[in-house]
Amino acid sequence: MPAPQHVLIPAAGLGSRLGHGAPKTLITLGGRSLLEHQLRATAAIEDVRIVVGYCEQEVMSAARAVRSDVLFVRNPNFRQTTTLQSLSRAASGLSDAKVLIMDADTLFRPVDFDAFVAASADVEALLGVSARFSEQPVYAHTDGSGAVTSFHRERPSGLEWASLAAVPASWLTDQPMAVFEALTPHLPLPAFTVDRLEVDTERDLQTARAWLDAHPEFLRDV
Amino acid sequence: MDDPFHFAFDLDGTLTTAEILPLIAAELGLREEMALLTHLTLNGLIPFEASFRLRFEILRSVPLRRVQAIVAEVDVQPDLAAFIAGRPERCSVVTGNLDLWVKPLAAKLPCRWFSSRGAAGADGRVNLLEVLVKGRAVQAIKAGGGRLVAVGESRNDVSMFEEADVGVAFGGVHEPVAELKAISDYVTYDASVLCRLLSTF
Repeated sequence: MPAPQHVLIPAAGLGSRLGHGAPKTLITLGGRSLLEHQLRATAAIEDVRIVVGYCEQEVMSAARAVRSDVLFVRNPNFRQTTTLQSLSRAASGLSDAKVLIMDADTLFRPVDFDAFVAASADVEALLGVSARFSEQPVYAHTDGSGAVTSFHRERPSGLEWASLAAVPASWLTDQPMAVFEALTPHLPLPAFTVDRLEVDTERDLQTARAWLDAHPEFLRDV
Repeated sequence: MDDPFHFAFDLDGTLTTAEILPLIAAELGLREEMALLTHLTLNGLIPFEASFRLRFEILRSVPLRRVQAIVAEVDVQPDLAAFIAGRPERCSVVTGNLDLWVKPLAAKLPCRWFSSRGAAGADGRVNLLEVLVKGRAVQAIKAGGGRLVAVGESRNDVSMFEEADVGVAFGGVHEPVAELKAISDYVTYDASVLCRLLSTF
């Protein structure tokens, strides 16, 4: 089976908890915007689709500065729709093609991300999980083989959903729910552990900046 | 069973790699003046019909054969031309430009055409009969059944996008106007990416 030929990046959201006014994906870490980090991570994937909404013009301009062949999918209803619904718009027309989905405000450790993409070629679907916890984790429960059997907001486990997956595009349905809820009917699914930094709050941002100073392997070389 | 999708393409700056009217204007040494008019029109500062009538008045003093010779030299975007050639029965060019002027491009884009209409007058000059309203062209296409994807970049494409099922703003030559992006489903600046998207319909 081939590695995903498409990557869908939902960048339509508000990022209001950060209070910067600008969309989270344009926040800089290690001298580059989070959006730029995602585009560099996916440079080898032919079809890059970014869903835009909040500050769409700024996001489009920032993406085009890195990659000229991005397809922008507009979600003008971003204030009333979920990330899943943004992804559903981006997935339109792709039927069952395997797509990579990744949040626009997360910095994935490059070695882990690349290994995830490579591993996704061998399976119908692969879920990214992480042992580093964000502020409001969606815990992933796994069985003996390491497959994810369920997601829970309330029941802690050793791993959380990393908002990174390779799935058939048809699984991304237009429903007002979270991405992990749309994936739940397809469980159990194989999991792959990745390290990543999420930037949800001002404190996350300060923590991330300090972390990067000490851990340059989180940044890709040019 | 899903209805098949039809495709409606703007001509100037979408299917062509250059804007046509400025090329004609250069014949009269009025390139800058035409560029100003075009700029004002693209951004909706002058309504398309008034702008086109004005530009037509300026350009009609260029002999028709000379205009057609200039237009014959205009390049079409190769990926889009190939896309159209692969499915001509599902494609239409929808242009506010004058049929008599853009006729040489019909050979390069062998699909259905909707354009503004002109006729050669008794004095040998061209007369403008009707300025195309793009939304009406799309209604005509959809009257045959099926859904429609519209591709364009200027203010004049808004009525086309309003009647279409899907709108793709394409910045092949210049930035699509904000008013059009605001009602688009997709925005892209790369012709091969555009074709890849259209192939999924």
